[in-house]
Amino acid sequence: MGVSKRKTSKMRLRTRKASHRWQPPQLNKCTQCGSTVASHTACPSCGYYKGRQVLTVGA
Amino acid sequence: MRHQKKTVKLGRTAEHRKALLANQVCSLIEHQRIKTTLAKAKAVRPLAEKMVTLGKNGSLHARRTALAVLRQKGAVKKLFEDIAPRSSARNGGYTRIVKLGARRSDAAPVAFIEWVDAPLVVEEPVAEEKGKKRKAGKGDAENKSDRKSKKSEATKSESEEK
Ligand SMILES: [Zn+2]
Repeated sequence: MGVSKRKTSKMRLRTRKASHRWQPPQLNKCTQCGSTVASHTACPSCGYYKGRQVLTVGA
Repeated sequence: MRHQKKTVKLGRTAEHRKALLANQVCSLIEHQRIKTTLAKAKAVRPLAEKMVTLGKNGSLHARRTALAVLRQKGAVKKLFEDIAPRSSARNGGYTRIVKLGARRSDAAPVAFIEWVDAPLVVEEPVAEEKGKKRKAGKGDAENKSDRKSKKSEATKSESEEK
């Protein structure tokens, strides 16, 4: 079995863990009403998707 | 790798899944558009499109094959007489899935699945009806909340009596 030769330094450990940081989702602007929308999703505030009324939005 | 991933299982036994998908396709035929979870919409799509292919064939054998899958005579009739003929110019891709984001209760991704060739004339009245429903729904929600509060009051009084 492989045995580690050196203790992992704090810096090395933290640099590695830094790549696991949470990233906020990338949101787009709705072309119709300008609110933030997840990509490839009908706008929850105006109900438009790809320039077409997809659903009527309630509360 | 796609090895041994023949179907989307949806956490159901084969017979349960077949019944579910058949029901969903029948609902899609009846209502032109249904709202389900994204996983179910994606599972429904291939079956729905195969049914349209059968409908475009139009033979008695195709009709019986469709009936064997869907198990609803009315749906098969509508499929063969309305839905398949209007998609005659299209080679596959008869359905469209529109993602609607996450559901409030369990954060499940929800989507519409609808016929691409559904008439636009139908869509606007549907939207209007939905608007009406929305208002009605609001009222319902208020009523429900009222009922809930009444219920909770009732349960409270009951518990007090006890
Ligand atoms: Zn919008």
